[in-house]
Amino acid sequence: MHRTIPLFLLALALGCENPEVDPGPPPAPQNAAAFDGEVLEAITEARTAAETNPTSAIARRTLGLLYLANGGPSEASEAFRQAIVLNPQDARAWAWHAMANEKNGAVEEAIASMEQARQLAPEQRPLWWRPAFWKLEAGRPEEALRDFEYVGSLETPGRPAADGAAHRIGQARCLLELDRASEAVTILEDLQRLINHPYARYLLSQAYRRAGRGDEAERLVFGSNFDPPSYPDPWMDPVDDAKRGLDGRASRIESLLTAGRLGDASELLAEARGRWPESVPLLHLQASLHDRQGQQPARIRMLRQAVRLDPNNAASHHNLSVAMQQAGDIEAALTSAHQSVKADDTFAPGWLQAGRLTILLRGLDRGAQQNELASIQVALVPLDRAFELGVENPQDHLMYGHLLFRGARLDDAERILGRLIERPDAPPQAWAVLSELYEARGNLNAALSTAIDGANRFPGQPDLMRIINRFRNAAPSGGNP
Amino acid sequence: MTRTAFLLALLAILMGCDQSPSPPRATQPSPTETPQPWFKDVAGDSGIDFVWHSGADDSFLMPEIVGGGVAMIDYDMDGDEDLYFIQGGNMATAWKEPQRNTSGNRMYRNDGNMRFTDVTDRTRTGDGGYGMGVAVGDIDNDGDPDLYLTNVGRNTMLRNDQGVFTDITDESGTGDTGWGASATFVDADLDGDLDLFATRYLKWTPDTELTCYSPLGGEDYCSPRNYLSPAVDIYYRNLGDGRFEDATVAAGFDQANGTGLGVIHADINGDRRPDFFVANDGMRDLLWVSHPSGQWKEAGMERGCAVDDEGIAKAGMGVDAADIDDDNDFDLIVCNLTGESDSIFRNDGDYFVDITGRTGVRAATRHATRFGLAWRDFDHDGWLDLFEANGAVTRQNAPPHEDPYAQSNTLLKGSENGRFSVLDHGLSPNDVLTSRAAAFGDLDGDGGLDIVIVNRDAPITLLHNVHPYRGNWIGVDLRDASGRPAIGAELRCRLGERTLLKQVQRAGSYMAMSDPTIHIGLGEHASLEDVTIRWPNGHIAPLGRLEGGRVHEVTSASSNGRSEEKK
Repeated sequence: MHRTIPLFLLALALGCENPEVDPGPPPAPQNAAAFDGEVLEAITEARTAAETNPTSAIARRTLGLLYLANGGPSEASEAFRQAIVLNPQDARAWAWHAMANEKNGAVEEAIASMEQARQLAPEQRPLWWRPAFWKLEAGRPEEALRDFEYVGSLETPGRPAADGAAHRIGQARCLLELDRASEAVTILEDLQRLINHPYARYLLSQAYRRAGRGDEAERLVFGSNFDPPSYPDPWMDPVDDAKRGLDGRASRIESLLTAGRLGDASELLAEARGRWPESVPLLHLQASLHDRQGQQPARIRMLRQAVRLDPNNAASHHNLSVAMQQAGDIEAALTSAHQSVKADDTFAPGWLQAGRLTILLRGLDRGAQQNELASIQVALVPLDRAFELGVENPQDHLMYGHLLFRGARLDDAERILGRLIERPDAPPQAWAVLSELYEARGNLNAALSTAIDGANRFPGQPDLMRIINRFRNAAPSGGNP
Repeated sequence: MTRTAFLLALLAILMGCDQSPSPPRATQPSPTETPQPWFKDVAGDSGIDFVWHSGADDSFLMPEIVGGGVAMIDYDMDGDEDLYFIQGGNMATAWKEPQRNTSGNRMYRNDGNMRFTDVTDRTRTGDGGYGMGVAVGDIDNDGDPDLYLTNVGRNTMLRNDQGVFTDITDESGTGDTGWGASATFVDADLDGDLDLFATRYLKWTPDTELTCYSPLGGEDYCSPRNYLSPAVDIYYRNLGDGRFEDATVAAGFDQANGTGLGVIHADINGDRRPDFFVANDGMRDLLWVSHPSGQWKEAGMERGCAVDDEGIAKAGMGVDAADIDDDNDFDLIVCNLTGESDSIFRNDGDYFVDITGRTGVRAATRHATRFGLAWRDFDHDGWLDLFEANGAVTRQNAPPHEDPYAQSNTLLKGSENGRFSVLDHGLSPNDVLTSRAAAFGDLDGDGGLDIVIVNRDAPITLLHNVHPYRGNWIGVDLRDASGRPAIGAELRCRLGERTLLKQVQRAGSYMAMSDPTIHIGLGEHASLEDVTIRWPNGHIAPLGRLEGGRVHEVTSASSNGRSEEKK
């Protein structure tokens, strides 16, 4: 049998290419000027290969991938069509043809091509959920729901697949679309056990609201700026690998880093940096890789190089500052933070970092200090600027509100904290600090009710319980004040 | 070769190839259809020679790809809408010395029959800032409409005194120096005068400009995300004596920042006070909901209209609000970048539901970058249609025009089943430009809604509604006691079995102001029944039946059931 299998594969490989069919000339760029030099070079090379081997489906596929990955979906669609003409058994070519068509706005054609792909490779889960999302977006939720449910049925019970979030999110969205919010809630509650993603919580909060469970929606924390989750699809790797140009390479490296594929990221980085040795974005990515590998000195070296290459890049100074802080050199970190805002005085993260470091340097994080008020005022200067420019993270709002309170800027502190507790992602300490602020102002009713509000939102939270108990103990009857 | 191996190989060939799926066919052009277009571009014969000059050279300064605006404004109070265009020019000059930026804004008087005359000099409306958007409203209750111009740099307030405008920016206190975009006047605090809400796009100066590159290679315009400098929108409260106060913080509008490009107001929560929906570019959209404290609270995420159903904060540009499902509340639409569809958010009371997919709009709108838009009933069949003015912001791979940013505009026909379908024949196929602002209204009084569109570095487009089979229609022009359009007034009525909700609204679209007259397609019906007005002061006035085929002018003083014919 050991000879049989290779023969079988050979038959598939040879037998399915159709040398009798002329698929047409490999597509040329519709607008050559629109492609970057490196992309154009690769396209020209791939076209030449396809012309030299006119019956090679693989050559057309390679050309299609280059177009698909580098912003030429029309040309990609044609190249994949030709690959399919030469080898109609190539499920990947069908799938990529579908993706090119979808990018081109030809959704129905895309769905039809994906249908062909999954007839050839029915075990590939993305070939089911990807077009199901397209159907959902095209306003066909019933049909999409059937597909998502089918992908779910492929899963081993109790063992969610790596891309298991895809069909669950898809199913829930279909159910929401069909005004079946209660069923969506069940699926999304189950999803929370599978992934920890703000989008999943956002979707659940919407489902709660539509199911008439507004109170439960209020309690969900999901922030206000997030990207949707991405779902693993191994057939997308060749598309990512075909990305050319600095931006393409950088985005591929970033996605590898995000996926924790540090070895692949390292390899691609070495290749890219050989080509663009002075690219600051690549140095940032290299620094990020070193960080993930726990190599702090190397990380700092990279960021210093980035700063040398482009002294006006505020992000480089800021990233160096963060690295220095993590390395324990707070003074050097503060210098870099100052350099960051010197390079761009509208760069909020730089001001925020300067404020944070001032807090550390002046020991404001370690309780009461000598000349505390003066130190707080120094720290508030960059923080005021950062918040004027815009800061998103609720923890930073808490830090700022707390410092304003300690700095006796009670109106400002009340404004910041009052708004913070209205955010769905507010931390419980926000209620505690605001309660103490009201107490400091002598408004004991507001102080207690704020602490109770917080405790209702975060039952049993120690800081809030301590405040509530203190009020209870202080009450004349020992009961509720 | 053994027999088994041969058979297996043969089987593989037979199984694999004989039942092969058919390869897709190369795209074939569809048979030519020649139905009648809905619109005809009459700009060439209109007397309007305005071109929005971006000033683009090779610097790729961000404002060059964002502007500019247009307003329909009856500045001379003769009963028809005149046109006011906002100019860009040379960014560097406009930034440092606006008085030397000679391109200037232009005012065109409507002479009827889609003909216009440039009256910029005599009206003194040629502001020299690098212009973006415009708001129209009678700020001093003298009956004539005033202008607020948003610029990259200092904004300008022009007071209209019987057709001649005076710059009152300093005395009014409205000269915000940020990058202004869309703006709107509305009586937000219900004290009887118009307040002003203006979006701010980015904290930007020519000195903070960045160098960005196209994914296709070469330099190109940046994304707002590159700047990391969103801004807080601004709210000016009208003090009633010609002055405004910056009440942004007091009213709570500093709670969230963004990259505001579009804004619309509507009473979303039914408390009579206007709420504001702001389209942000590359950031979550904001919904400012009025609060009993007198402030506004940002509730976009909570109410489900800040991001789309996929959780994506898209590149919001133009906006509109209308009751598209006849359930007596305002739904929202926001348009976005190529690859991102529009988002249609259905108002379900306490929250919004993203219904873009089921309306057919998701698939229909992703092909282009959309800016000016409106839900209007262009064919008067009783169902709102959707028009969008399109143009890319980064170079396209295969542009259909020598302008690498040019894209064709989109017209979608609305229907009874709640779906919108692309109407390929509705617009001229030659209409491929880099379009931005679009304003909507009946410019020639023939009952059809016309569209004026600003194009980047190209003549304007003036779409005259020439639909050959329009249904019946009605216009209702609601005015308050001082004679100005009663912005925010709501009209409820019956049309056959349906219940409609409309409002007096100039804002929406993108950096534009439209005709505030309520315009309703009646289809086969001859009239509206059970018409009721809710004036901004809360007074409810039943008007009964209104006959179609004309514009009814109703003032709050005469809202005792009688209507007066306007034209």
